[in-house]
Amino acid sequence: MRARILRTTSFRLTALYTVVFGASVAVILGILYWATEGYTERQFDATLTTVVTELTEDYPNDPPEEIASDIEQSLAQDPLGPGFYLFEDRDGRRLAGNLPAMAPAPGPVDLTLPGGGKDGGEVRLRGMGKILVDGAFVLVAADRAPIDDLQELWLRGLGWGLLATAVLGVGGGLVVSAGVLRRVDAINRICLKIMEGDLSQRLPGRGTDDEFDRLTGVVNAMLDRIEALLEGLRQVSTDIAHDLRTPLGRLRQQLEGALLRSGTAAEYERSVERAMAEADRLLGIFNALLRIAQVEAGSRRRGFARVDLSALVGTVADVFQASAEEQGRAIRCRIEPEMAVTGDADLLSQAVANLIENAVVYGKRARVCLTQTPKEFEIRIEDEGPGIPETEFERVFRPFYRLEPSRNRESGGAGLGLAIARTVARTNGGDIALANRTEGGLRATIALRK
Amino acid sequence: MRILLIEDDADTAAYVADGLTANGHAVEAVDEGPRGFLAAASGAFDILVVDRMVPKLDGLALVRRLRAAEVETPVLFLTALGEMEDRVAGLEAGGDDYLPKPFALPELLARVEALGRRARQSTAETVLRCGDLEMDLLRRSVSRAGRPIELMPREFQLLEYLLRNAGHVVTKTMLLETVWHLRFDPNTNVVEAHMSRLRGKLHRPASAELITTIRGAGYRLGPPA
Repeated sequence: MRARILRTTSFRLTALYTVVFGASVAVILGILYWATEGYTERQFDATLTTVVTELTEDYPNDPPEEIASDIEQSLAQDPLGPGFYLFEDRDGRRLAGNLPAMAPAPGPVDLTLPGGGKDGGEVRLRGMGKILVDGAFVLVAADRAPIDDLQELWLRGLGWGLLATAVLGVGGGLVVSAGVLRRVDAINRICLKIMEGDLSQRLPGRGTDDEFDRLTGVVNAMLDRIEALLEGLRQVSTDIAHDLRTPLGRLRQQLEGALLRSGTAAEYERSVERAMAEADRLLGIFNALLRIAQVEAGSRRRGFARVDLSALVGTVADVFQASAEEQGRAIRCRIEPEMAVTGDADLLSQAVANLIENAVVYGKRARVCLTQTPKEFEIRIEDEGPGIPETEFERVFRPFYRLEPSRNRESGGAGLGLAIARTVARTNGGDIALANRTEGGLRATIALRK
Repeated sequence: MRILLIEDDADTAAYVADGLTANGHAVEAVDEGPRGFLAAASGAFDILVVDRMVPKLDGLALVRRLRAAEVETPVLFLTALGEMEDRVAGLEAGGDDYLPKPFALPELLARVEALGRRARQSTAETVLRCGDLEMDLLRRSVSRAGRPIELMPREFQLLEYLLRNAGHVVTKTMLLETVWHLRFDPNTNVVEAHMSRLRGKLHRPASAELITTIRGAGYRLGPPA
């Protein structure tokens, strides 16, 4: 777990951020330190210079003895003064002060005085030297502890600050990464379950609408869609298996019957003919299924051409007219002339035929209209049957779906007609809508974009 | 007729070859594209029956090449289930007819023979005849034994197709395609109904039926040729 946290993106990001942030803190403090440290030292030097100037103001008008006595006086009476003095003549002999003689050098100087501290330890001094006109030398020095203390304070502050930054950064990184890792782990676990086949699983969300929630939301929506599609597929393949088993079974029975009954040639012939009719029905179902698949794959777009819709609808209605008339239910048509769309004539004929066939078979009397709106052509097929419940409007388009058991294979075909019709309508840039007419009966409308 | 069959599936090839041979045609079968092309290019055949998917050179490319080489022998394409959408491509490549598998032998036979006739027929004919039946294509009129017969447009088209193929079997599918322009079976009796109306109008007492129903195959106008 620990090693995994260190490998997480969030931890790496936090670590990188900590390093960058720490570096910038160090740079800022460094600049501040440099500026402040210089300032303190310059202030210190200025004070020392003032003292030196006061001492040597009137030299050489005042005699060296006066400087010496001023120094002794300051040493004895001024606890707030610099505290360390040296006054040498031009030959390097010490005339006054508590510092050992040294080579004269003007300007600021750092020196260490062993045994000069109050506890007898070493003391570090900051001094300011001045060589007088006759070669005498004055040095005023003070304990530089205030400067060093400030410096140490700065350095310690910088160190602690950086340490705190690092600790907070790494710690925060660990905490954040652990949190993220927990959520990712939860997602991973569920994804594994889904991979194993449990499609009902959904990724957890926190309800905070953060980026994880949005991601899991999208993934869950995707899973819903996949599950629905798979469910549809499963349904269709079950239906196919079921619907093909029956005619295949009948086919087998007929062949077996023919084989068992040693009949006349004419009886054999009849059996074989019945078996062939059954095989043809099966092939018809396969054809229809393949056609749906093809149309859905859109491979027929290549066959698109200008189609005379008026003639097409007229012809298809005419094809059903004969059988409708036999039952005394002539199809009535109202077809506006000269309407043309770009599409696949064969498929569009099939779609219209399927709808008219349904209307003739289930709806008693069919009425076919072809009209146009500003944007669409509408082929309306209305019947005078019982209509269908609105809750079934979507389901009847499913392959092999039958509205009621009585609409069985004999009277109702394979249950693929509407599925084909809708697929065709959609690939031809349209759709099919169903509605129950107020005066009774069903209305199917194919709308095709102009 | 001399028929070249280009088909790689041995079972289908045998089924087709046997069926065509049994009906008096001379069949030569080839199971791959390049040899099929050479045989077809020899010009020794009246009809080519070409499977869409043959090894080495597929049916479409083969026919396209033949047409480019100005071999105008009529071509009937055979295609497996699921390739129906390629009908347009097949016709564009230079095919003359298109038959999806699986097909019934009578269907294939009727189409092959119709293709052969079409190739020999002159299109300039304006009057079609069969016995005492006469159709004038320019005046759009039909008469039997000199007596005029009134036909609806659809019946006229139906009779025209029967006359052009007089003496030969035409199938229901062929009629649906040419007269109604439908390439699927709409499960109606539209052909039967029109045929029965046409028969009624053509009927003449005391003479034989002009249109014969051939069981399991289709219809034939007049005595077999």
